[in-house]
Amino acid sequence: MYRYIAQRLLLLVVTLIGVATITFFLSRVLPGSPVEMMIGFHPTAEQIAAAKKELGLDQPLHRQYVRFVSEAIRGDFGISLRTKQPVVEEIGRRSLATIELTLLTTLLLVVVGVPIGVISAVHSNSPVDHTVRTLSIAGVAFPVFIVGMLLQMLFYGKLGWLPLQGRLSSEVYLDHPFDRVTGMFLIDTLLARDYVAFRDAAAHIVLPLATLTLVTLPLVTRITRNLMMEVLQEDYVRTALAYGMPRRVVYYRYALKAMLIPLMTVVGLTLGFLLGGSVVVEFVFDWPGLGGYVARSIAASDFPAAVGVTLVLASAYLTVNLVVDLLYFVADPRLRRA
Amino acid sequence: MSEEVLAIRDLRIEFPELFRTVEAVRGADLSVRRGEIMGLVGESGCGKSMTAMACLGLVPPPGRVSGHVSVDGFEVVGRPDRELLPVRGGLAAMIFQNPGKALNPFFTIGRQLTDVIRLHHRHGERESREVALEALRSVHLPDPEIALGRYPHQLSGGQLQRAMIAMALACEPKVLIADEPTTALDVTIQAQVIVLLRELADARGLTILFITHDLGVVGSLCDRVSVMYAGRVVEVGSVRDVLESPAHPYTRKLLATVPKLGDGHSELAFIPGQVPDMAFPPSGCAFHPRCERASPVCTKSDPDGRDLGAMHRVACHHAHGGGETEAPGTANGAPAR
Amino acid sequence: MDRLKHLLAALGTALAVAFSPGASAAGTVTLLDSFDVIDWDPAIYYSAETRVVLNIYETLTHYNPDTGEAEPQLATSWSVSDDGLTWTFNLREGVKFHDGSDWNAAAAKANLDRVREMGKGAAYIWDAVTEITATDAHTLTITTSYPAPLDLVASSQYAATMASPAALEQGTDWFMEGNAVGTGPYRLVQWEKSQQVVLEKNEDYWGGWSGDEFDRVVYRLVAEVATQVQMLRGGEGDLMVSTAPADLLHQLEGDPDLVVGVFNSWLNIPLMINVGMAPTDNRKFRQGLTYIMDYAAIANDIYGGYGSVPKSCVPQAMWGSGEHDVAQFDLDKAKMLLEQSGVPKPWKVTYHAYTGRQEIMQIAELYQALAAQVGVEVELLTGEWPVLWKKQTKQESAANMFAVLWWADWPTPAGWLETMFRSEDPIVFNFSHYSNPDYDVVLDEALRLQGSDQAMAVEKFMEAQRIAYDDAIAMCLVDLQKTILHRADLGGVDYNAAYETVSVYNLRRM
Ligand SMILES: Nc1ncnc2c1ncn2[C@@H]1O[C@H](COP(=O)(O)OP(=O)(O)OP(=O)(O)O)[C@@H](O)[C@H]1O
Ligand code: SF4
Ligand SMILES: [Mg+2]
Repeated sequence: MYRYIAQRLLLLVVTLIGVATITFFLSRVLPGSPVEMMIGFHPTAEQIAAAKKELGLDQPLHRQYVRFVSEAIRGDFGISLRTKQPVVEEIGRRSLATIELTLLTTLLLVVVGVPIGVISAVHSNSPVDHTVRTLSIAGVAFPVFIVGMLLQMLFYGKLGWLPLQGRLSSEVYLDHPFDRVTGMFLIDTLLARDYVAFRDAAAHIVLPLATLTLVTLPLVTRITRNLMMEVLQEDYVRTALAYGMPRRVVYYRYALKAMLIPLMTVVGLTLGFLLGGSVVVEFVFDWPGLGGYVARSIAASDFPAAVGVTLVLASAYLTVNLVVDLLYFVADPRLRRA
Repeated sequence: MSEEVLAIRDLRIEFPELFRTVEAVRGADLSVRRGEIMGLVGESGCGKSMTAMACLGLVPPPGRVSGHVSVDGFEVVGRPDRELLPVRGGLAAMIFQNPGKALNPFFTIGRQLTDVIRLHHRHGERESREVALEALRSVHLPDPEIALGRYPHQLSGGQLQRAMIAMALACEPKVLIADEPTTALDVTIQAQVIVLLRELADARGLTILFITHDLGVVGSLCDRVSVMYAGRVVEVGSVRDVLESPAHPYTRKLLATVPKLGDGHSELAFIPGQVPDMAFPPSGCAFHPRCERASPVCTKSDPDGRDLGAMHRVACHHAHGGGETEAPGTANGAPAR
Repeated sequence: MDRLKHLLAALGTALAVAFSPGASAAGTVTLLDSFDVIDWDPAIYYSAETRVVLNIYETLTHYNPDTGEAEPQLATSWSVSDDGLTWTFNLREGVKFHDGSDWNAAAAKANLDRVREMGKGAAYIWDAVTEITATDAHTLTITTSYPAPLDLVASSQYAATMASPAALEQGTDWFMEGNAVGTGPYRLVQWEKSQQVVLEKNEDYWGGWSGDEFDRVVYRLVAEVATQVQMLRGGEGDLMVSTAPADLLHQLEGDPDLVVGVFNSWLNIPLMINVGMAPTDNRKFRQGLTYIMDYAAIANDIYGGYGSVPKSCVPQAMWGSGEHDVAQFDLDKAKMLLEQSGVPKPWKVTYHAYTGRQEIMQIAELYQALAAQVGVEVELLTGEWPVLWKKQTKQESAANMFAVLWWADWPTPAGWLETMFRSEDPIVFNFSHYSNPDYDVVLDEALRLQGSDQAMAVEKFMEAQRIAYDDAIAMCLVDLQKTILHRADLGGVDYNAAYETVSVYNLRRM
């Protein structure tokens, strides 16, 4: 097992180096003019030349690569051309906003989506099941930004219950400063025992959270249902029933345990998907996370940011995958080599 | 006359589908008496497993069950799940074809045995373990203590089937239903399991319903045998009567395809003609499209069972050796459709 | 464990109270913006930062769009020597920076020297300057190598704002952390990256306070225009700093809570025609092309009436623009000129249309449809602005036509006539690849004169334009108006074409 972990970690490092190299060369080869982006709208020819020099773009490609690698190893991805802030610092700040949102979404998906899928499978072909399946097909058909805007119109425009955008209200940002211990405002405000700020942070996360959950829920529900259906076909489920085990116990203890393993993969993948894929939600709700940063960096040919964020996302994704694979070992005795 | 432990009368099982209804079992009658080993044979898909599942009230949805199944006098059909829990394992315990899959890969053998034992006896943990050990010993599983801590993937197929049998025995059921318990095992292991079952039957007076494809096994293990075709039991009698003087044309066909009786692995070989589509079973006697003796009456009326000898019953208009006229040489396998 | 209990208890208490979004607090004005500040360094910023920083920083002079002249701000008066080479600015006394330090000639010199030395952003506007001297505490002397209109240059919204010398000492990195120390009516109190910028009243502002101004300004960053509109309606926002699309403004016309302010601007759209590649290297052919455009449709339909048919490629709101025979829609004439050009058929031109502004794309499609009517096939090539910009500067990758949204850095027609039309090597903004010595000579004269004799300069700018329009190097598509959407209860909303900002000092709650 330790050997396996070591192998996987090595593979992770190799993959990351590959990803870094590919993104580096892609960012230099693709059209787009980072320099012009960096110096605004009306630069002079001298300014453009100076900026190129500053970025090292006047050097041959292999020199640029060497410089990039040596800086990246030191955790320095340079300064974003678009926001002119250090890439590492910005990614750090933004990934925490993203993590706050995605972890909560994943939690909701597990708490809400998985039971719905299980119930749907256990009562397959019942009215409950049909309703769930119809809704989940309808749900997939709704684009993310439509869901987000509809929620905004309803809960802000019509009902006035929830704020529209941002992570906190202007006044709370100003008048309720708190230590950014974790970078996740729900936790930080509680640690600071600032309930006004907490309430505000909670109110602000509701709509993005709901949107992200709603749009991912159908998928999770459907996958869970299918997984559960498969498990219910298993002979050992029939055995348990044949020996007088109550269905409740069979479904929710035995079958669920078997399903949790593939489900972990699904949750892991969802988490990975959410980490990078919440672009639209972040845009609609002005949630200062990674998704929007990625999208804008790429659109603006901001290659230090794009390369940095690609690496961070790739590492996160690979790590989640690794963790899921290791959980397999814990959960499935068949994989634990005696 | 010994008493019936398992009595199945006019059992019908239907699976409604979108545009048709599959009639998996169509009025089957079966009876197993205390202490005997009853064989149940028939082609694949004729409804053997469904009949067995009906004994536990476990016909999967959307199956609809009607008729009567009584296990040790307890009527099963139409009962809610809750009332059936003591029947399952407690009155009738079942073992399955593929022991490697029938046991839960995520729990140890011990855990699975004790869980079941605690469902049927009010034992504590330690006592359950004792019962489990005892059961494992009685099926001659080597190193039972170690086996308790093992996961299914760590045991061989034969060991697992022994463990399954142990699980069944630990529940002290009135009848053991074995649904093709040896099909997935290799030949030597098959023989060991057969020997074990015979031994248990002799030593404990265990009642067994033994479902199989293997007529050879029937001959060496069973006391009586029922032959099933298209959801009905078409012939029943002592092993001797049925195997030596089969009365139903289908039974004869079955036996004719067995190369040599009792050689251990004589699977049901191919019988000419098509296995009936259970959504649209043939009219009259379901066997008539494949039957050499079929006559016009066979296409119209489904024959009732009638007694041939003391213990020998057959459902056929033109049964062999039943004093009937020989079949009119006309209808040799009318086209199936 | 204790911490967890703590958290759970807190969670309970906190959830017990329901959320209620409300209107902006009294004394606070909330401006909705879609762009965060990027450069905080006054010597570098060169973009949308003006919206915020021009409320913090001030300049020596302030441009008056009605007179076309510079007026006093941090300088109270100025004079220029007869040869036009020496400028003397008398600085306002008693002004303090937000950090309490004094505004004086040394501070002014420090700022301007730093801008020139760094050479970033719009530093080029000071190119004529040879030396800056703090003659005494409140007198600044600037000498130039050729006559330049330094009073106008000093009013520029870029590269001319004055920061505290102590702040300049701290350097660019310090500014970039979100710091700004000026003399203006508001001072920076918070920059919550990608969420908001907050300014507060500078009690000691030299211009004084009448008492009903706002104490606090929140620039809330909201990416989506639709979201901004919802916030305006909900009373959470007071004014949209970013420009809303015309169709949206029309939709909101009936809303009693909202008002659209319409102002003159220096924004326009020249459609540059490449003289260096076939078939637009043919002058007659180019002239023909200029008649293939429904200019009124651009102003009225694409810009929904918030634009007008231009009379020059310099916006009418800018001095020195003048009235010329441009922007004529006449397909027959177009056809005639194209035929006369001798360019063999089939006629085909390429057209760069950058994405991200729907109007640029709509204009391109309109042109394509009209050109088809006279037998010219227009091939649209799309891409992001920076990509197409770079392509257009190199003849190998350039298109025949390229339309760009344009404006000036400081109050001068040179922002168009020099930056876009004058010979250039390497090419930066001369998207026509136009190089005509006659034009250059006249233009250079105009540039020299604008420092000393504006009337004469105007005449030369006119002459230069006549040459360029005769060569048909660009089509003048539209003069745009600046629209500002705000709540009806917000008064004092004004816009000065020279400054891309809304002056919060003038805003009032009504
Ligand atoms: N869920 C179901 N829906 C529809 N039909 C079903 C279902 N389950 C079983 N059947 C049908 O019932 C019939 C009897 O099936 P059963 O499993 O009892 O056959 P079997 O005699 O045990 O065959 P085998 O020897 O292959 O195990 C088959 O024709 C099968 O197609
Ligand atoms: S003889 Fe007739 S009744 Fe008998 S099995 Fe053949 S078809 Fe059926
Ligand atoms: Mg079966």
